[in-house]
Amino acid sequence: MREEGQISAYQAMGYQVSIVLATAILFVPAITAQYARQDAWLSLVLAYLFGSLQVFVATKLALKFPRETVIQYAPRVAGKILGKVIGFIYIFYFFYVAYFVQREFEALMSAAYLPQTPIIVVIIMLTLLAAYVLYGGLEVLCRVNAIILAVALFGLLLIFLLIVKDIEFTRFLPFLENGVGPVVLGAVVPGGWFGETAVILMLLPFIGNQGKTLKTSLLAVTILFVVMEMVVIGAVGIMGPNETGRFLYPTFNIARRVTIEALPILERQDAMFMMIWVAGMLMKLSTFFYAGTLGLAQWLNLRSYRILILPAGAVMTALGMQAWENIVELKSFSGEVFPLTIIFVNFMLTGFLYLLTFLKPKSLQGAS
Amino acid sequence: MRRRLTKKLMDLLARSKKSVVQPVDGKQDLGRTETRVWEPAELERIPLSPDLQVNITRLKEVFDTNPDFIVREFDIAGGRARAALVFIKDLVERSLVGHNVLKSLMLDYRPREPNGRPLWEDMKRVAVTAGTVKEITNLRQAVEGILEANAVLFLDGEATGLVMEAEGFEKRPVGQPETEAVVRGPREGFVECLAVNITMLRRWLKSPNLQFENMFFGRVTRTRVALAYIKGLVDPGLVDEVRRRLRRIDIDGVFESNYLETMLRDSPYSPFPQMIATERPDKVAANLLDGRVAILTEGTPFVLVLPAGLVALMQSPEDYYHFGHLGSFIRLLRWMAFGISLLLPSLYVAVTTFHQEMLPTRLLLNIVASREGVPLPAVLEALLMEVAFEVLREAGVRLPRAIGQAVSIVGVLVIGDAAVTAGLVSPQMVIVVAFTGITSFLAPAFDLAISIRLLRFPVMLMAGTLGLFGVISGVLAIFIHLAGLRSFGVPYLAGLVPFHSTDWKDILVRFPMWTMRRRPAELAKQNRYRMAPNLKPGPARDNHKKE
Repeated sequence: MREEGQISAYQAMGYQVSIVLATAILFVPAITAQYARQDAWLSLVLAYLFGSLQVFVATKLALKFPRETVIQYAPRVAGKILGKVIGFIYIFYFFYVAYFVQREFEALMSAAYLPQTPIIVVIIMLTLLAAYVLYGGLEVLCRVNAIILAVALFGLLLIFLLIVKDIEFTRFLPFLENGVGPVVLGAVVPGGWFGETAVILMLLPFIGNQGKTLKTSLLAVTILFVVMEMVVIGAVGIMGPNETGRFLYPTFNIARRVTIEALPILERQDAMFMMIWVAGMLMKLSTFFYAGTLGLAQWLNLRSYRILILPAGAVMTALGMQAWENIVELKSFSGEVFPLTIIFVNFMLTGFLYLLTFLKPKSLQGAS
Repeated sequence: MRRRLTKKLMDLLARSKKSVVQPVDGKQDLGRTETRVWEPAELERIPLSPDLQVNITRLKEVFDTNPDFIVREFDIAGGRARAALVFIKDLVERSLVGHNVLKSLMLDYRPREPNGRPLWEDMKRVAVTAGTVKEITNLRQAVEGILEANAVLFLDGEATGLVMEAEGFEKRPVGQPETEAVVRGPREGFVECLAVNITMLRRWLKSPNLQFENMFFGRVTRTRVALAYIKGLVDPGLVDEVRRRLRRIDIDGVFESNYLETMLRDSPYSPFPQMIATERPDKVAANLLDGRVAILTEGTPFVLVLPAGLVALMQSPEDYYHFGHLGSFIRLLRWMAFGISLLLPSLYVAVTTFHQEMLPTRLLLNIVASREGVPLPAVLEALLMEVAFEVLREAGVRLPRAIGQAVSIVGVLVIGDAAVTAGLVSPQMVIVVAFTGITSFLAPAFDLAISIRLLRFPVMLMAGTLGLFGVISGVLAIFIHLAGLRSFGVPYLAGLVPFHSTDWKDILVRFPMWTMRRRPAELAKQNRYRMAPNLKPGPARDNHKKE
């Protein structure tokens, strides 16, 4: 199945950045600071290396099959039945991330902005928007993403510049207080998150200039690293590791702190932050929703994924509603379970397939 | 199945019709009196007869009892041959007919004898003084020639006729474009007459490569439409695509270019205009130079220019007629107004209803105090005011000019002052709605202003139910829609996404002329540069050394 339209490697990079950023920016500072405390910035360096490794393996694997997605070649690489199972795991993983995103989105929205609105309204709203993107196809996803990412990065930079005066570097001392162990532990979560860039496995066949994909994928992780460093240093530097670890959404709290004495109209502008963040979440949801429905359509040998959009969206929403009781459960889940599951898929499973391609070079035939 | 059946039926019907209209070849059929309807296809099958009387009778049959249909029979060359001139009285310029045809044929024409030329050829060469003539061979051409304000000449013994240009009817003089006034720049606007409009374009673009293609639309109206483009600049694929889409159109009447526009669009349900409709010849000429195609329609001063994206719709010719700083300033202002006219009422509703903490405390207290007596929630208040504004605006357009002023004064007093005093709306809301209304007039393309006007209402409803989240959802939905939209294959947001850095010189601001060397990236792909390099002006450096 060939999806109409082509994107460029840089547009794919845009996705890779925005899909990780949208959620990581909220959760990662708190979780990393819980483990690594004032050395959270160091954890991010480790996470960066780990994330680069993951995306490197994924891109290498994808480049071996330039015309197919992982769902299509997995049966050839791993054998018919095992391949289908692996394909299904990938598909489930995409939907799993998608409904996790739905729920994360709802968590912040209902906690901070719409406490009296039933959460299902908020979720359905976002899912419908994502479905609208999916009906448009990959090109639309790309173009919307380019605009949103530009606005979001600009907004983040602005927030960072406004708060940089409040950062106290003494908060980063003492260096390596409890040894290397906590730093490594703190790297697991952001490392897993950075690994989400492996979604390139589904996007690669639609990229025009595939030769650049490896470079742009690594560049995507680098951009993510820089932005996340900015956020973590901002959060720990302003609030200290204790407070950062205790808040649900430290980034959000930073955004709330932005004040300019001369311009009172700019005070308490966290709603502006929300608007940008909603856009980012929409991109993340659409990308995984897209990868999931496209994968499912290929798994079932359908001609078009469009027929699956609404049913898949409905199932996803239902799963998202029942999977977590409340926001506390969601947070502990996103710190303890979620990173491991996505590392399992993005790193272990992808690495496994990559190794298999060396053992069964025959499977490469037919992939021209 | 059903389709096949209907097709069969249609075939049968067509065949039965055919059998009624035997191609007439002489005198039979002449005495028929019953009224009948003539289809162009039928007329085309009837060739002109060498017998003058037969031709005249047939035309009289076609035009039936129309009193303005004139057949003037006369003799030429001293009674050597009979001839007839056929025309519609009020469509032709009578002095032209009298002078160019009747006088020269009846009085002045003396066939030179003996010369080998047949009379018809000789007459055409020597006696017919009309500039544009065309020979025709069948009845359809004759009928259409007559209806298009020409005079048709028949000669006894000839199975051909001569269509002569004799057009003469009242036209509105060229005036200022009503909807697109400028402070500096040409003040000439298109008119209803296609010929005049084509002349204006020709005067702007004196190139043989400026190509016009004539087409006719409307089974009954037979509206003339001209497709214009510049060869070598325009993408030939684009012209083919426009032709292909135009060819599909089969409709009984075309009264305005919008009839064509709605049938040519890429996404018919989109609220956004996918072509520029303009009354300004200079704008059309400039767009043709960018590699676009124009569609001129007889009977309307609005010319369609395509393909058009958001960027092109936000450009006004005046941006280039003022010097760069002002042009850029106006452009920025316009984008801002674009955002305000879409979002201001929604943002006001969302912030006052859901996010009061965003306002500085004093302003908040102010708003709360003035809203104290207002019986409606903010979103209803906003909707009410917007509707009132739209009603006034529409009334202002329709009402006779003398009453219009009275209505606008009453309107201003009623919705502006009395409503506030009566405590029905808050003064802040009046400011918001009035300002929004004014900003919507900044859009250079009237169509774009209309889409924004329409979209304002759903976004307002979203703001009233979900606050800023509703607003951003609405904005995102519009964005997604625009990102998927195309105008004749060109992405609607071209320049922004897909990103073209050279186009950015002419999006948010207007760079100086000499930096905009390239035409828009998605158009004119085979002819990119519009000017020589290094045109930046300045004092010549060598002169200083010499002096």
